[in-house]
Amino acid sequence: MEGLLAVQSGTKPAMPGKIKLVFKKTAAMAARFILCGLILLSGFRGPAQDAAPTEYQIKAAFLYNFAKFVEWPAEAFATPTSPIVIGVLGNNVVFENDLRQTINQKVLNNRPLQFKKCDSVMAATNCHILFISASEKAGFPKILEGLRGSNVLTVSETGQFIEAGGMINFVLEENKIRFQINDEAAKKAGLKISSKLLRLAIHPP
Amino acid sequence: MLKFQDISIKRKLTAIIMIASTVALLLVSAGFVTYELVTFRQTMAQDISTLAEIIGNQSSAALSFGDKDTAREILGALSAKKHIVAAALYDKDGHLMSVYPGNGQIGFMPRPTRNQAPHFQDDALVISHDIYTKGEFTGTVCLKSDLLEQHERFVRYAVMISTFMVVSWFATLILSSLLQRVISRPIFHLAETASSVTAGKDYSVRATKDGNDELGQLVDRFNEMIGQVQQRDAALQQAHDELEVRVSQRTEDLQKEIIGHQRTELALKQHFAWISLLNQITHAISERQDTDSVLHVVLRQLEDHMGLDLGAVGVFDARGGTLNVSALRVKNFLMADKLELREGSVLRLAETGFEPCEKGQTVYCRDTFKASMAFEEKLALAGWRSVVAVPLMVDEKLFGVLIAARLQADGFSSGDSEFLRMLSEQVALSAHQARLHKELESAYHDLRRSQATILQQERLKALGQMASGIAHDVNNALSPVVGFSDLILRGGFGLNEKGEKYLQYIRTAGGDIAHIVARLREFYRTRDDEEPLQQVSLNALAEQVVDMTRPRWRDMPQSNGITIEVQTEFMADAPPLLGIESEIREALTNLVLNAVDAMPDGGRIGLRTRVDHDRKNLKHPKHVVVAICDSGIGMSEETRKRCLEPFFSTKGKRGTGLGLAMVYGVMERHEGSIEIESAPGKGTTFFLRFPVRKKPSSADAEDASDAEVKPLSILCIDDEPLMRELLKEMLERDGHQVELSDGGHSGLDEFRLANERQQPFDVVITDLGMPYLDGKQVAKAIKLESPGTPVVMLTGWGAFMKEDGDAPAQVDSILSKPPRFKELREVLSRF
Repeated sequence: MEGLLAVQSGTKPAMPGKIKLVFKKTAAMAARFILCGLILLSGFRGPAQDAAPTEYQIKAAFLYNFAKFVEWPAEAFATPTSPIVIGVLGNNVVFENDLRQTINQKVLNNRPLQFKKCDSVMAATNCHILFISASEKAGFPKILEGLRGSNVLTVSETGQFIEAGGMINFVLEENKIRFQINDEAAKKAGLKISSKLLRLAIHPP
Repeated sequence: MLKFQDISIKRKLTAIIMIASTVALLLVSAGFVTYELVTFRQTMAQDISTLAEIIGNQSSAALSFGDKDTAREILGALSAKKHIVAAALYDKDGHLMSVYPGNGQIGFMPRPTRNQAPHFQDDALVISHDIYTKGEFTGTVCLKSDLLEQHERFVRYAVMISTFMVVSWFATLILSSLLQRVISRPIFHLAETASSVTAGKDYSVRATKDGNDELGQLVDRFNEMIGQVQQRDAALQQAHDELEVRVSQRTEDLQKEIIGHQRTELALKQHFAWISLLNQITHAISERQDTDSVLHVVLRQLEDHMGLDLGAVGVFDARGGTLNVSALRVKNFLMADKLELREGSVLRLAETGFEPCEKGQTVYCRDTFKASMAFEEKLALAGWRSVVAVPLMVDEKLFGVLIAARLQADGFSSGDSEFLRMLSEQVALSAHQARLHKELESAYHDLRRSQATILQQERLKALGQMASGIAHDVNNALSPVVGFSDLILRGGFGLNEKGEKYLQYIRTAGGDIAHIVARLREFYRTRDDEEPLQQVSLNALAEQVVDMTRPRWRDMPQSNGITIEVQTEFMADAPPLLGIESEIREALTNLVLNAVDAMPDGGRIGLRTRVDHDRKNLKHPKHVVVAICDSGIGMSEETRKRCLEPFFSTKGKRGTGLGLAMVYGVMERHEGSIEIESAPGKGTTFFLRFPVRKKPSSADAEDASDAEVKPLSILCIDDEPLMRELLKEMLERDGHQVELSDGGHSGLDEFRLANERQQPFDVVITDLGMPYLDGKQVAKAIKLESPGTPVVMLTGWGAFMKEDGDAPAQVDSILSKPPRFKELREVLSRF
């Protein structure tokens, strides 16, 4: 600003003081506007939003949405502000990253959302929602058995998950991601799935 | 159009009630409808809010998971609500998820503002409700409800209110028409009573009253009023009767007054007649300019209009105390003869008894028989019984007395004498003015005459001066010719007889020229003192002229067949007059010849002489007059006035215009005068009037040419060399010693030199007109140095200087050019 002012003074040394002052103010304001504009543009234009969302990105968002329509029993949380923990069992790095991004900073009814990478079934028992990767397809009965008695909403994307006693399973229908719900299993786990969510689910064939 | 005020009171009352109740009903209905509508709208808004909440709640999952089918399903349930015309669901990013009705237009594009409370827009109720799931914004539901329900309600209300209004209106109409009678009936009754009173003039009728309300009181007041009117009617009748009596009385009075007015009018008419007479007389007088005619007019008017038997005006002579009767008018002349009164007779004021007139008072003698004065007694004897004398006053002095008389005694009313008095002022003024006018006129004529004379003299003088100017130059030029001729003729130059004869011709011709020049100024010149006056008999002269001119008036016209007769009539004892015979003869000749010229067809010429005597001393003749008259063409007034002017002629080329001018000059020199009487076609008469004078007792001067001349030493100053030579020759011939000088300065030097030499000049002769130092200045200088030396001035102006009294004091003698031997000798012999 000093430089600009100096140039102005240099070219027109006889310019009255009042005009100089006005010019200085205008220049400062213009600079500020440009700065703000740049910040806003960068904020709106997230790199992930440009392209159509990937399958896992959608699935991550679904997981988050499930949290909205499922009621956990009170004993599932230590305090009213305890986080809702979403865990991933099995090996799926892409999904883990997408999920982490999706729930980052999210809060539902004063409860923050938390991501947890589970190595074992035991580690998954204190999750509220657990996504079981397709890689663990063979161990489904064993995993589900291990989770019995804990209030965990189990979600997977494999064919026989519901039959095995899983609660929610993602399926691809007409190129759209839909889900099946096993309300019996949820009830057994002490979870209450909202009728609104149930309405959206597709029934197993 | 019928105004509300003019409608019957019955209808008015009904109308008032109807209007009031209708307005009240309308207001109530409006209030009710407004309240209902407001409430209904609130309910509608509440309903739509609830609906939006329900839809939002149901569709939260569908929105979260982007399930459009479910969302559509949920909205499809709205078909049960028939007033919802449109609905839409938007997800949290504002993307449209579903619309209702699915086939129809989208009711909300673009997405309306989030979370809008129900509001009415374009005949619709619109709401936009945000959906939250576990505290997170999930999407927005928008609903639009039509207002058909509201409109249905409106229609229902309108029908209901209209029906209600009609019914209540009829009920009010019936009720009001029944109830209004309570008020209208008594009023109608009152009105009927009032009109019956007015129509029948029966003030005994009374109205009946129904109750004690205001209308009852009105009836009471009305009845009271009629009672009062009844009383007043009676009183009025009485007053009317009294009035009639009074009117008849007043009419009588008026009639008396009218008679009085008529009398006054008569008097006024008389007065008016007098005034108009006065006016008439004044008018008549104003046209007259001389006193006598003014007075006569007045008297004639008086006799015609006032019927006077005698009217007279005597002009007062203050010195003699007499009245000179200058106008008289009498009906009966025999009576006037008896009175011995006529115009011009003189009355002594003291004998008439009119002395008070001198103080401006009117005298009225009612009966002349009873008067003691002489004049009145005479009047009485002649038959006039009453007489009025009115003074004519000018500047408070008695100018005259107007006397009016009638045959009967006491014949003048006070009005008559008043009128005469008024008239007298007017007459006095006019008569006085007429007199002044006459005086003024004569003064004016005198003035005119003298002015004309002066004018003529001035003209002649101017001309004479011009002529003398010419004469001066001619004389100067002529001097050497005549002078040297004279010198040569005196001999001693050895001329032969022929040469001497020729020289004599030259000399005579020069003399003639001098004579012509002299004649040129003849008419102007006054008589030369030196010119010898002779005893002249005018009769003899006239006779001579008749004889001399005979060829012109008899012989020449006769040869042309024209006869001119000359008559002479001479007064035998006409005294001789003193004058110059030749001049008078020439004047007479001129006049006779003029007379001949004035009669181209012949006629008569008369020559008469007469003597005018002094008025006081009849024995002493004052003027001798010769009159020359002809019966010729005469002169117009203009010609008569100008005929004496030099160069004025009516004869064209034949006339010089100097003839009569010369006659005038002659008469001036003889101190006489000319009178001319003439008119076109009536001939002309010239009167030449000569004064009679005694011959001065002076001895004839001795012949100067014979005088002894002693030799003198003379200095001659003249700027013309020829003149100097001439003078020298002339003077030396007489043995004088002559010195010459060519100008004023050199002349004075010469004079001083001679004085220093102790040989002063005896005489100095100097010219008048010289450059640098003229003759007058030279004379002055010489007289200053040597007062005893005589100075003679020689000039072409000589003759005029003498006449004008112009001769300088320092000059002893003046000689005119050309100088003659004789004159020069005579002058020098004096010194």
